[in-house]
Amino acid sequence: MIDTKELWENALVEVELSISKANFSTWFKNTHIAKMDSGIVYIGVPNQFAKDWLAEKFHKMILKTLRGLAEEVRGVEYVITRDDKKRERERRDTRSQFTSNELPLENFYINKNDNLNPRYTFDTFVIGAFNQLAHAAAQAVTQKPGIVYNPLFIYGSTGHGKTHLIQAIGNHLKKQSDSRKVFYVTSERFTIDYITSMQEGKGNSFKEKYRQYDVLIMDDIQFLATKEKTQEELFHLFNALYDNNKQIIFSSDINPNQIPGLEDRLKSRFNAGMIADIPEPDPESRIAILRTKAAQNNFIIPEEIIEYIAGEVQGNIRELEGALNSLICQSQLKGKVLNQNEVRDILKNNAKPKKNVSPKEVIKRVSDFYEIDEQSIYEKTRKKEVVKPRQLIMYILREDFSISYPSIGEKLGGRDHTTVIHSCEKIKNDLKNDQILVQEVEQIRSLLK
Amino acid sequence: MELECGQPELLKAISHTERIAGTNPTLPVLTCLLLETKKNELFIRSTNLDIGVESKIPALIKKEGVVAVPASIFYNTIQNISPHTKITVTSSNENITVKTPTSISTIKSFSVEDFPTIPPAPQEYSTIFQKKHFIEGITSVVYSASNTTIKPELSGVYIYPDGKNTIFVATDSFRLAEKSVVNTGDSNFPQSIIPYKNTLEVIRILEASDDDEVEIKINENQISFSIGRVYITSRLINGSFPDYKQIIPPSKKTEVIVLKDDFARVLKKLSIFTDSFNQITFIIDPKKKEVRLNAQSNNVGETKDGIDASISGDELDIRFNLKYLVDVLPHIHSDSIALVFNGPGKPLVIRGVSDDSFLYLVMPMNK
Repeated sequence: MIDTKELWENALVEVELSISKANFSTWFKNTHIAKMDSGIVYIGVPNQFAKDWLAEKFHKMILKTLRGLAEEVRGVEYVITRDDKKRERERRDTRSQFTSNELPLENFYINKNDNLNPRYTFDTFVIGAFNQLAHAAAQAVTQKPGIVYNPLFIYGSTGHGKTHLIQAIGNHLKKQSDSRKVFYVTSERFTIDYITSMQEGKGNSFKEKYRQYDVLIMDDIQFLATKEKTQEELFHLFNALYDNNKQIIFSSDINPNQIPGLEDRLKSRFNAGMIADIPEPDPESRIAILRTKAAQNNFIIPEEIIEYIAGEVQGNIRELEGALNSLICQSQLKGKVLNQNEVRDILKNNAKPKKNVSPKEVIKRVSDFYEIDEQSIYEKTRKKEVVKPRQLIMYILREDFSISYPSIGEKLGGRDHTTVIHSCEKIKNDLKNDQILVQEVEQIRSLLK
Repeated sequence: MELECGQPELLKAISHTERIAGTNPTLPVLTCLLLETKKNELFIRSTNLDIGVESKIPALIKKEGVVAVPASIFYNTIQNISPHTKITVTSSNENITVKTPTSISTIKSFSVEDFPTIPPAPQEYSTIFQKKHFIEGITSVVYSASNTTIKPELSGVYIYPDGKNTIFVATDSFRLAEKSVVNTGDSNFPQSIIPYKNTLEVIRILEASDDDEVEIKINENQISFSIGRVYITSRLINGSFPDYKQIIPPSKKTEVIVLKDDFARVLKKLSIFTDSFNQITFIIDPKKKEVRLNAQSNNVGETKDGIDASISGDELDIRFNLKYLVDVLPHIHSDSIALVFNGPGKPLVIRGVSDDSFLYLVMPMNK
């Protein structure tokens, strides 16, 4: 592998000697080798003028010089590239407090070529115990894209940082190499793209478009469920990319094996790589996230307040951010640091109203979920389809509502407390092995919220 | 080279190209105009490697040839020849000679060797635009573009299609202007960012032209304009414009409607009293139905001006940079304007009342 930077520097030294200084500084300034591909050197130039002029006037000389330095050079092409190096943002310090605030445009840059939001990077990703595995897998992918963990599949509930993580991989891979084609697409966008291309009879250009990417990132794959034709297209696309060792990254809100309406052949392909989940953040991670977000906003916040918020707002990261944002806003308005009482008032408005769910409600929801008659829960029947929901109800009442064993037994048609203990233990054990059961419990819990 | 043509035609063609050829310390030939003859036309070209212009005029060509001549010298020479005179231009070795019945001037010329080619029009996309619509779109927003290149994508006018309309946007991240104009041609105008300095040149040339339509061609890196006998090609800024729609506040916390002329007069008066930061203060009190604008400067003094307005919403005390407000007024064509505030620290939205085609956002200043 040739060091293209060194090659171009050496070439420039030779070119400089053979042409006038005016010409050299006008046309060769800001040029570089964008990439080298099977003997063709692609020279990145700043504009069309330089492209035309180099190709017209200096092509022979450039080719000859490059060939003299590296034998394998067979041809030279010119491409117009943007110069990213200039984009340094240091103004902020020099601005006086009197100037206008800026429009918050910074947050809305999305690169049209790859759809990646540059804000999502590994630097801003907070690592905690809960997302360690997913993060490690993502890091491994950035080191050897297409080789380890292909495809990488990240799943977790909404607001747990899936999109951030998979976009961070994309941004990182893009930064590593300019010529690498990274593309981020939501499954919804993919479906629309596919349908439009079919309507316009441009199926081939659709295939070509997606097959050219070196890294394809597809978000929220669960929306593909039941869209059979799109799934088939994805299947073929997957094979094409996979065979060429192109990295593929997916995300969804549940384990791919449990996405209903997803074809088995896709599921089995997802299983071939690495499947990592991002569960709910643990309290320590919530604190870490709040600290980082507060620092990003240049907001100083007392430690005890952070711990208080982390304890109060237990939902996903987005809710944490929302709570923090309203806190920042309020304290800017009042012009002082808020105390715990004021924080409590703000969070009260912010927090989702906690419903008081009665055990009856639980029973109703669970029996609805399993489509059995509510009454049968109370009866002494031992039919299999009733026993499991009944045990589940006991488990949930015990775990989530901390109701005593005897009173659970009483509420479920006068059962003995040992029966209840046994049921809870059984479900607890089953949860360790039975992924489907875990999903079901999660879904029921979300119904009860 | 030897040719003969009328003074007015030649002067017009030079005036299109002369401004582009500026000072260029690295490649002196770029300060020149390139004169080239072909059959019975004279082509005049200039470029600064960011934008290139080619203007052609009919001429009586006696001998074909190419020559590069310093732009400002040539321009000033031709400009000061009385109109309706026939001019003969001949080139020899290192000079060109400009001859009229009563005068003869010799100007040192440059070697044409190093004069770059002007890129031909892109073939990927082309459309016909009504000249006045295009001019309106650019001039309504271009003053808001950033004049630094810290963020290259903000130092241009962003153009993109929206149904039957074409939208022009520019922002320097302190304020943002958006104008929607009807595009009678194709509705697929590709998203592009034209460097704002180049848009000014394009507008100048379009305005000077007698034609009503301009042909625009675009590819990923380049945009070109053909109108009458002039061809312009400009670099496009290679970057993505922020998704600015998301920062337009959806709500109305405080709305103030004033007559444009009243507002302009008050702002003019305030401008006498502002400090070097151009700061003015709005104090809006819906209960008293009162809008007051204050400005003060340590050197001059201070002023407090009330303005007749219809007010709704919350009371507010907020500061702005006067210049940003003054800039926008010429581009609002309604008699009255709506100022929609969204609370402290949030952008102010300015529109002409009953005019949806134009929108202006300004960020407030800190205390």
